[in-house]
Amino acid sequence: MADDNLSDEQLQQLLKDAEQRLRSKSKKQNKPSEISALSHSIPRIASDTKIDSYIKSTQHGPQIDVSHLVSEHERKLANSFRVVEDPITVKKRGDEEKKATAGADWYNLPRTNLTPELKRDLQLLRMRDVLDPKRHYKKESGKPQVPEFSQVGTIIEGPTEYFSARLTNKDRKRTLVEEVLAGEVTTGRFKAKYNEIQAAKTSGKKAHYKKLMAMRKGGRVSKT
Amino acid sequence: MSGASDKARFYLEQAVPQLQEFKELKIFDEDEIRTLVKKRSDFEHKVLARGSQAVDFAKYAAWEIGLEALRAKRCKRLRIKGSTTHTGQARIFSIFDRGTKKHPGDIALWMSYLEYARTAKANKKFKTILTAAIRLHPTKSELWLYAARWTLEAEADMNGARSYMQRGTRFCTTSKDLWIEYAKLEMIYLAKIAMRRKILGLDVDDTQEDAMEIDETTDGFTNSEDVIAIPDFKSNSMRPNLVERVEVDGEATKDPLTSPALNGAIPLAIFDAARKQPFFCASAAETFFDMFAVFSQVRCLTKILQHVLDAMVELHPIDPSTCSCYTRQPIVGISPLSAEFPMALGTSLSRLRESMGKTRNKAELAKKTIAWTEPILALEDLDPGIKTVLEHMRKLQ
Repeated sequence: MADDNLSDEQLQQLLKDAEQRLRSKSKKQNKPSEISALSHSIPRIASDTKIDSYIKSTQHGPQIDVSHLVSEHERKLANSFRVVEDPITVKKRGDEEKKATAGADWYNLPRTNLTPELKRDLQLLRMRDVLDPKRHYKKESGKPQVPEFSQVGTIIEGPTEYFSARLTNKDRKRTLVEEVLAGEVTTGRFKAKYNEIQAAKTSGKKAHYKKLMAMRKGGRVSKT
Repeated sequence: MSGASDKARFYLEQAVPQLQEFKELKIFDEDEIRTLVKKRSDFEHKVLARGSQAVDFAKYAAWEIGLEALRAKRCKRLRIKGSTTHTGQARIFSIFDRGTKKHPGDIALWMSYLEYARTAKANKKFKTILTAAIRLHPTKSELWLYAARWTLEAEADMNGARSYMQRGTRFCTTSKDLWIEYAKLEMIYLAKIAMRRKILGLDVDDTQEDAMEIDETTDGFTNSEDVIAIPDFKSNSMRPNLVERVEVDGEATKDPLTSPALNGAIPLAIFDAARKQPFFCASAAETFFDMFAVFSQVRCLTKILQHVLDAMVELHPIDPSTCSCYTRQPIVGISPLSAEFPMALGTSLSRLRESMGKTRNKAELAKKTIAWTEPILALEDLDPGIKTVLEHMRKLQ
């Protein structure tokens, strides 16, 4: 019987033998078989998913089915671990994560990292109308404000701009302020401007008085 | 009257006549009545308070049902007359009514209500509740099936059951459950007719002279078993005068195969309608096949099965479900202990070989084969030859 590879003929022979045996058997004892008796009972209409009623009759009278007392959701909660986190820290963390960048609409621009260099640069940008007398900008108003989200980048010129829009290596500096100061060394424009203003400002004040006093004392014009 | 405690008081006051009756007829003594009131008040407050749930109503109703049963028992034991079941029952019904009004979506509460009405034999009330529940939940196939089953088994009303099924199939087009059960209902009807004819001696059956069964479903509608138990009794044990007294219509003695309804036209029409539904697939067709295959008493079974199989071959020719049904078709309705079985099994074996060649999923088909051979192999006095062939079929891959 454990033979796995039975040929067709063997199987047919087995079936034929079985048929003969069963025929002789059924002649001998003519009784209804168990299966035929079972197959004579008619199945009933039944649903795959039955709706259970809440009330179950027990020997102590009608009782509520215990399975209904706790809802499915609550049972699941009761049967598993629940990790509780401090809601305040959770909220704080969420807020921080939210505030770290300006959001996807702004390509996740990071929050400003205000270094002293950047602070100077921003101040310089506010006073950019002073740098070049030929260039005019819209007037800035209000208190100087540091932007909430910002990033510092470097413009890299294209190969076609070699002669037209390029800074030479010597002119390149780390920050805007350094570039402007380097320019000042060569031109001296700010110093000249300062002196000009100073001369106008001090014309009738302390220096004028000192000069006057010196003239009164020595009776002559001061050395300078 | 708006607060929960006001309402509770109103409902408690309504129960006073019942309590007075308990006291007068001495069914319960004063202490017991006091506890009853206390308990009832607790329930009322719980039910009427905010956030009450359907289970609370069910708990209350269960307690009232228990109380009613206790009252009936005491009346019987102490031989007290003049106490009826009406007040208690009306109270239980009103609790369920309030519950289902407050939680109309809770189907388990509806089912509790229905079950109580059924066990209390309040048929009129039961029908009203059933209509209300079905109206609120027309897409729940379980409710339609429950209704059809009750109508068929408790009312013995085939037309009523049929109409429930037909109405249900209009709503439940996405689940195969109801459709299969509808076809089953028609098969049950056919099987009952077949048995009735056999008992009345209208069919002279040459092959099955030995065992005759009678359809006895008088014990009615219970939810426990899935099979209608039919007591064995032999034709000779039936008193001949009993059979002779039954006047058999001349029309009925004619060949039943001439009428299309007795020829399985209705189940097949249901099957054909189901084919157009969205749920229909190879596995749904297989479920139909399995359901039909159980009804070995019905004469036109081979025709029905052939029709189902034809449809399956037409729609899903290489699906393992189709192949499995094709394999099983020859042996359906033949007892493994009868002499015809080996021959049929031979056909089945050749069909299995053929299917294995063309099926889409061999492993699935092998699994199905193992599943259907299991109960046959479990038989005690199975012929060893058949056993070997079945084992061979199980290993076929």
